[in-house]
Amino acid sequence: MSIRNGLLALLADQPMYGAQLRSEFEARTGDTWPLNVGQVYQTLTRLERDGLVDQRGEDEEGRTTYGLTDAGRAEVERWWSEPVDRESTPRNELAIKLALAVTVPGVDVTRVVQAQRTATMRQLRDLTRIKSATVTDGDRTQLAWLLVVENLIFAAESEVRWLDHVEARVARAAGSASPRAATAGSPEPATQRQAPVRTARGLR
Amino acid sequence: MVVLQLSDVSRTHGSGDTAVHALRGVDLVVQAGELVAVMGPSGSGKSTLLNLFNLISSLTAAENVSLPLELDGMRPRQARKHARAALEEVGIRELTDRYPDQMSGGQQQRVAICRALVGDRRLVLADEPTGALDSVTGEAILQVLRHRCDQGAAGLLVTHEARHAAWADRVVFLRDGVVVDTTGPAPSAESLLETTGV
Repeated sequence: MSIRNGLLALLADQPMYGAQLRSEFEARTGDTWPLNVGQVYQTLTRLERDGLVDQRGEDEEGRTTYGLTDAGRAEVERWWSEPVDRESTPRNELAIKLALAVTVPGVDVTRVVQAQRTATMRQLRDLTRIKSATVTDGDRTQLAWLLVVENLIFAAESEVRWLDHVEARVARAAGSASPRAATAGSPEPATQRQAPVRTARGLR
Repeated sequence: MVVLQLSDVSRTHGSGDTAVHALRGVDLVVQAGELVAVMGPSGSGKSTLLNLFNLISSLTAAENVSLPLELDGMRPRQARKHARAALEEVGIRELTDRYPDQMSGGQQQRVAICRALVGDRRLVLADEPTGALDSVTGEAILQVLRHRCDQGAAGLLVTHEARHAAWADRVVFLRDGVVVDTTGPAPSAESLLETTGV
C-alpha cells in the first residue's frame, strides 16, 4: 500500500517530523504495517515536490517538521470522500497460484488448498486470540487497532471460505470431467474457457 | 494430562459394495485445558466423529444430561438434580422427560449444549454448537466453551465455520474420514501481543 495518504491524513492533525509520523502511523494501525524512517522521508520529499506538504522549520532538537499545504489539505479531503481503489491493490498471489495450479498439469490442487487453509486457519486463530485479549475501554488507539485486527479476521475468514469453495469446485469438475478432458487438465472445452479469461484480463 | 484419546478409530456405514468408510484410522488426543476444533466439509466424517458421543436415544433429556456427571463419579440422584437445574437454566425444562426422537433438531441441539456445559466437567464435546442459533448467542456459547477449557476442561468442537474453529487452540482437518492436517498448538496471547509490538 502507498503510505502517502496515511502520512497526509496524520499531518492534517498537526505538523510532525519524520520519526514522529512513523510512530504515529504504526501506533494507530497496531504495528500491522511497520514503516522504516527512510520510507517516510522519501515519501515526504515526494509530497513536498508535489506541493502537498511544506517544511515548518526545526524543533528544539533540530528535526524538520512538515505540515500540510492547502493542496495537501484538499488531497486529504479527497481521500476521505472517495472509495479506496480496489483495482490498484497488489496482485493476489493466492488467486494466481490456484489459477495456475488447476491449469498446470501434475499439480495436486487439494494439497495446495489444504496447505493454505492450515496456514490461514493458524493466522485466524492467532488473530481471534489477540482480539479477545484486547480491551478497548473507550481508548481510541485501542479501538483503531481492534478495527485493523478485525479487518484481518474478516479477510482470513473469507479466504478460508473461498478455499472451501475452490476445493468443492475442483472436486465437482473432476467428477464431471470426461477422461479426455481430465488429461487435458480442464473439465471444459478450450473454447468455453477462453471467454472468462479475456473478461478478467479486461478488468486489469 | 490426556482427557480424550481416539486411537485408530474407524467407522463404516453399510456393507459390501455400498459401504461408506466415514472414518478411517483417526487418531486424536485432547489434553486438559485444550480446545481442539475438527473442521471438514460435509461428508468428511466430522459429524460421525461426534456421533460417537451423540444423545443416547434410549435415555431422556435429563438422563442424557446427567450421564457425563455420573461417568465423572457423581451419585445418580445428585447428577439428575444438576441435570434438571441445567435444563431449566437453558429454558427447556419441558423437555426433561422426553426422549431424543420426541424432540425437534433444534431442541436436541439445546439438550446437547446443556449436556456439554453441565456441572464442572473435564470433557466438553460440541457439534456445530451454534448451528441453529443467532450469531451473538453463538459467540456467547463459544466464549463459555473457551472459558471452560481455560479453566482446565478438555474441549472438542466440530464445525465447518472457520470463525468458530478460530476459538480453538488447535484445528484438525478431516477429509474423507482421514485427518489430513493440523495447525499445531497456539502461541499464548501474551507472546502474540509481544511479536506485534503492542
